[in-house]
Amino acid sequence: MMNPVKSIALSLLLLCAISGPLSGQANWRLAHRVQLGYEQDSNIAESVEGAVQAENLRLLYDLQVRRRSLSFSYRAGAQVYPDFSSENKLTHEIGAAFSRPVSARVELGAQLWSRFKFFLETEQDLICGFLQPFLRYRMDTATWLELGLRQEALDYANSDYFDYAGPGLTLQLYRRIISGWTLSPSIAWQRNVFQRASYGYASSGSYLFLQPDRQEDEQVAAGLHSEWVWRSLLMTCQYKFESNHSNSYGYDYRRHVLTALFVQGWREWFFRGYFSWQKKTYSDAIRPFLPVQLDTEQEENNLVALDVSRNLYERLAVVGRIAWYQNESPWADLYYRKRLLQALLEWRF
Amino acid sequence: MTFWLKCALPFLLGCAVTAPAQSVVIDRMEQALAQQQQRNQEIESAWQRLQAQSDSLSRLITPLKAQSSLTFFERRRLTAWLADAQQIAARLEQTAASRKQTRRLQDVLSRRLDSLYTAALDSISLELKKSAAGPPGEQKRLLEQMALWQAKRLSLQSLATLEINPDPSPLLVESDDLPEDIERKADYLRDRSDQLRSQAGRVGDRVRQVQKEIALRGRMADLVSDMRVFDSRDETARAGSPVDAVQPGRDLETLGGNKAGHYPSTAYSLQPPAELLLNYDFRNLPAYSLDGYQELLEGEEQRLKRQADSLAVLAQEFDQQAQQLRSTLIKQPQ
Repeated sequence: MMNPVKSIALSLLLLCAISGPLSGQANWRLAHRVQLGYEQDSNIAESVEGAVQAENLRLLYDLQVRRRSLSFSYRAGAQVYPDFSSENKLTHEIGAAFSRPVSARVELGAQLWSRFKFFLETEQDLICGFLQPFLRYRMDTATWLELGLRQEALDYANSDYFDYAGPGLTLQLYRRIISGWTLSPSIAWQRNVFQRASYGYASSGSYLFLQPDRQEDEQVAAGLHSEWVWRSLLMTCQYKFESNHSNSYGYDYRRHVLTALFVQGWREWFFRGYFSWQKKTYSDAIRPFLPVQLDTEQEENNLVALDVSRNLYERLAVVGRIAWYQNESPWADLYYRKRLLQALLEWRF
Repeated sequence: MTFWLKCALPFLLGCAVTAPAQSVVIDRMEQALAQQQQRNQEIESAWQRLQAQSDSLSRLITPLKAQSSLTFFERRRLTAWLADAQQIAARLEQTAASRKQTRRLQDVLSRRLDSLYTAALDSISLELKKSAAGPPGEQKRLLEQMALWQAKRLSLQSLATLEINPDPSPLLVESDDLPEDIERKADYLRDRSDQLRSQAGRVGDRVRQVQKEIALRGRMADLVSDMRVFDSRDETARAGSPVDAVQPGRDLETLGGNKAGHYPSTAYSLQPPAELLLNYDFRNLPAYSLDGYQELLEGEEQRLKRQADSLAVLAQEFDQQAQQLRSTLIKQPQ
C-alpha cells in the first residue's frame, strides 16, 4: 500500500522533470491530455454471481513526448470510489522507445514499458514491465523484418507468489500490401520463471502435490496484424494464437485472440470501437489453482467498447463510452460479466 | 639574332623585372582574399544563426496562428513572437544583402588572384627554360615556387566549388531596360510568386491531411490506453500508440536525402522540393515517420511562402521603377 501523497509527489516530480526542460525546445513535440470523468461499473467485485454496482471518479493525465526517432510517454491515473475505498488506486505508466539507423538497411533500437499500480487501501501494489532491444532490417522499400529480445517481469510489493521474470524473443515482419494497408505476421517466444513452486499431478490418485521446482512457463505465439487507413478511417485487426506450456499442472493452455479497433473522424466527431474476443482451452483435466496473475492480466478478456467523442472547442472534448466485458475470473474457466459506462471531459494541450 | 629571339628578349627582361613585383602583388591579393573569406564566414554563420532563429519562431508561431481563439497569455506570446520574427526578417534581409556582396567581392578577388597565379606560373616556366643550364639549386627553387603556386591555384578552384547553394540569380533591371521591359519582368515575378503561393497552399493542405491522420492514430492509441490503464495491458492492441510506434520509417529519411537519419534543417541544408514531398504516399508511413513528414512539409511551406513574399515585394519594386522611369522619360524633352 503506497502513501497517496508520495504517489502524487512522484507524478508531479516526473511531470516537472520531463515537461519543464522540454517545453522550451521547439523540436520536441509535447502533447498533454487531461481526462476527468464519471465511471459506472456494474460489477465492481468482478463476481461471477451477485454483481454489485459502483461509481467512481476517474482522472487521467497523459503526456507524449516525441522527437524524431525518440519517444516517451507518461500516464498517471487515479480512480476514487466513494463507496468502495478498497478499489481506490493510482497508476503510473512509463514508456520510452528509440531507434537509430546503423546503415542504410539496418536500424537498432529499444523499447521500454513499465506500469506502477498503487492501491490506496489494500496491499496489492505491483510493478510490471518489459525491456526490448530490437534490430530492424529493411528488405526492400515495402518490407521490414524486426528481431527483438525481451526481458519481462512482474513484482507484487507484498507477495512473491505471483512474481515472475523471464526472457523472450520476437520476430515480426512488416509488409505494405498497398498504399495505406500494412500486414504484419509475427512469432514470439517467452519464458516466465515464477517465484512460486510448481504443482505436480499424482498419476496414481487424483491429487496435486507441490514440487521442489519453481513454476516455469513457456509461451509460443504466432499472429497476424493488419492496419488499414483510408480517408478518415483507421482500422486495425489482429489474430493471435498462443500456446502456454508449464511444468506446473493445470497451467497448460491454448488461446485464440482476435482484436479489432477502428477510429472514424467526421467533422468535430470521432467514433471509436474496440473489440476483443478470446477463446482459451486448458489442456489438463483440473484447472489451475490460482491464475497466472492476481490482477488476471494474462487471462481471457473479451470486450466490446464503443466510444463517441466530440470537440466542444479546439482543445476540449466530451467523451461518452460504453463497454461490455466477459472476463475470466481469478478462478480459472469461470467468467464474470460487467458493463462500464463513462462520461468524460478531455482537455488536450 | 633571330626574329624569335628579338621578340623574346624584351619579354624576358620584363619578366625578370616584374617577377619580384608580381610576388608582392600576389601576397597583397592573398591577404585581401583571406580577409574577405573571414568576413564571408562571419556573415554566413550570422545568416545561418538568423535562419535557424527564424525557423524556430515559425514553428512556434504557426500552431498559435492556426488557433481560432487565443487566451490572453497566448495572444501576448504571439504578439511578442511576431515582433521578434519581424526583427529577425529585417536582419535576415540585411544579412542576405551583405552575404551577396561579400560573395561577389570574394569571387572578384579569387578571379584576380587566379589570373595572377597563371601569369606567375608562366613567368616561372620561362625562367625555368632560361636557367636550364644554370645551377641546379636555382632550378629547384623555381620548381618549388611553381608547385606552391599551382597548389594555391588549385585551392582557389576548390574554393569556387565550395560555393554551394547559391541564390538563384534574381531578375535584375538592366540600365537599358524600357518601362515595358521592367513591367514584363515584374509580371514574370508576380506569376512566379503566385505559383509558389499556390504550391505552398497545396503543401499546407497536405499538412492538414497528415495532421488528421496523426490525430486518428492518436485517438486510437488513447482509446486503448484509456481502457487498459487501470486494468490489464494488451500490447497487441497498442500498435498505434506513439511510444510503440517507433516503427520502420526509413523511407522518409531517404526522401529527405539524409542517410544519417536526421531530417534536414532549413538553416543548414537544402529542403526537399515541394513536388517530391507532395508526390510521396504518406499513407505508407508509420506514426513516428508522420511527424517527420509533417516537419518537412511545414518547413517547405514556410520556405515557399517566404520566397513568394520576397518575389511579390520585388515585383512591386519593379513596378515602381517602371513608373519612375516612365515619368522621367515623359518629362525629358524630345
